[in-house]
Amino acid sequence: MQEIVSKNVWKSFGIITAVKGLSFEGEKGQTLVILGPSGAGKTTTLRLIAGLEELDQGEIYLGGKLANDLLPYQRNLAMTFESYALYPHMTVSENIAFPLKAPERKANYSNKEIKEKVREVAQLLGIDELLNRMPRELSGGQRQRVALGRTLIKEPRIFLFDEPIAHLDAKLRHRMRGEMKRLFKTLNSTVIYTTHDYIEASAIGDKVVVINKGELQQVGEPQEIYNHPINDFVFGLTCDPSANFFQCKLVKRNEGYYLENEDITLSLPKKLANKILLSNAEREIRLGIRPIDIVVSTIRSEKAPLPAEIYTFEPLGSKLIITIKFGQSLLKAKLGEMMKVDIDQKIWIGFSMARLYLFDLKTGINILKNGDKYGSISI
Amino acid sequence: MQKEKIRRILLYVGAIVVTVIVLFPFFWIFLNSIKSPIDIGAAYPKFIFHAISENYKDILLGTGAKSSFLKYLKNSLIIAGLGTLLSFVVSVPAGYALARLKLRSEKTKNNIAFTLLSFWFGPELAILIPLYTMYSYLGLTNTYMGLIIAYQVIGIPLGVWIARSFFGDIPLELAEAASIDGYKLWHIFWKIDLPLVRPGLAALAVLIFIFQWNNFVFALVIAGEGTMPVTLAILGFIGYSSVLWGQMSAAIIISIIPAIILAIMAQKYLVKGLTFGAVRG
Repeated sequence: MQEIVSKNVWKSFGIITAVKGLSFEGEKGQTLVILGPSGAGKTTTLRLIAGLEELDQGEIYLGGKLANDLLPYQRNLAMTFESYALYPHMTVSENIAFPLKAPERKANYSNKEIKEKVREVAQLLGIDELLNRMPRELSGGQRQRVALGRTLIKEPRIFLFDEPIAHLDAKLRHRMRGEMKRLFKTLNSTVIYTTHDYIEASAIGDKVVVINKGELQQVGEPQEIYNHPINDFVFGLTCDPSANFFQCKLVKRNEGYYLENEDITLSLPKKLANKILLSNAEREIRLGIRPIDIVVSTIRSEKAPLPAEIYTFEPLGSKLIITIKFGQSLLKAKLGEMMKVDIDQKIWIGFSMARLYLFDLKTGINILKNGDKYGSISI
Repeated sequence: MQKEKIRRILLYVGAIVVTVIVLFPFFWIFLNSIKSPIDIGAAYPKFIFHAISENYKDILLGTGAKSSFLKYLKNSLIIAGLGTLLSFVVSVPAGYALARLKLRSEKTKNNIAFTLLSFWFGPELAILIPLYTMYSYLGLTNTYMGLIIAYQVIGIPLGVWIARSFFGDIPLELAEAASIDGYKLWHIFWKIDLPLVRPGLAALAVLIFIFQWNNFVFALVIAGEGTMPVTLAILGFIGYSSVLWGQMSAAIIISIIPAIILAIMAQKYLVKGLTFGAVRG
């Protein structure tokens, strides 16, 4: 059964439309990640589901029932806020116990049971030493875990997490990512989680909902979104550190088809060229390549036939990020192994041809559909 | 460097002058309250004299007309005390509602708040005549209740306005978190927002009390012998033939003591109230 359904939901604040006809579904026990840059409408979407905002149009179903007119406390949800929203005048233990002491739930628990449950949750999160502290006496990571504890104790139908680990430092973020994933699976609960970080989305989510400027871009499993981004925007999100794009034109010469600009010429199989010609009258293409799919070599080879220069480089332990000056553009390459390079050094580069992405320049749509075979592109 | 020093000296001199101007009347009244009538009436103000406590004894323990000063003090306490309570109970939830509830438009909300505040700006004299007519008709003149109700004109606008700004400073997310945690508006008010503004509200209560305690005009028109507060009673020391300067000064000193004590307390709380936003967890 679909635990959460958002159907053509619209929401405006004055002249700004934050959510534009958003539709998606989430199954029971699934972790649904809403991925998008800041200002994409992630938080608004979450607030609409929680009932903190009234939607202008559309329907939200929770557990199969229309929830449009339900107040937040009637929806049986739990939510952590980006700012954690801990109650500053209560101790950690009072903060965590607060949902169980709500008027409608109070009758179900004795004081002893509440105490027991608080201790259980605190132990699970490793904050049992902090129960008598006030929120202002805690570090960011500790506050985050208290906020998490307050969410977990309730055993709600759906958990909502609004960028819960965005403000933690990198190490702690990485640790919490794994811990939260494990937690979600042990609880077998439905989770909706927002983030602007594809890696986080991919690490935590069973299903990723990509949105931009309030509009749905793509829904799918993380791997599917990585392998078959529906447009250049989604592709850009999945690139680390950032996407490389070339603007090219499709030309025909001597019975052959080529994608070219001033720096590069790629020969296309005929089938693929026809496909482009059918969908794209202007024949203009945005070529996308992930940093990890750029081949870098100090010697010329078949795999790295193009001359380039190193603009700058960042060794990151086991990884190496190189910014490459290639013709008119700067490309980012991410190498899995270390190699000795220097600024302004001449190098040779190539692309993993099977991992090239072709987008319509105007609409941004990915021209290569999942499963289509057109033969390979070559330089 | 030299310039900075001069600036500081001038600043201190200025502060001292202002302090003296403000405090001198209190000082003078205090001196009068411990002087004998002869010393008070001396042609040149006397700073060295034989201090006496008769004036205080007269009004606190005395007999006849003078002894009723304690009664007036009690009247003031009842009227300003209950008046403050009523203002507080009405204006704190009202301020909360104005800060938090969604009305059809933000503008309506601001209009309501500003209309209330305008009662505070408006001269009390403007409503005295209709108030007196109504009170006579309703039989509220010379009653505690009548005075307490009239004092709401002072207490409620101030209370609503300040309570509204206190509640407005609390991050909305706390209330939202509580509403998701299963609480309705009333409980959120009671368990989250109210405890967070408690220091500020203590200062507010003190402020309302001081303003109501100090009121003169409403009492002048509405109060009678049985309900007269100290502000009015002090006038009683001015007789047809003579002015009882000594007793009057003693009465003034006694009547400003509660206000001074509360003001000092309020100062402490006000500082807390003002820094509240900065230390929020």
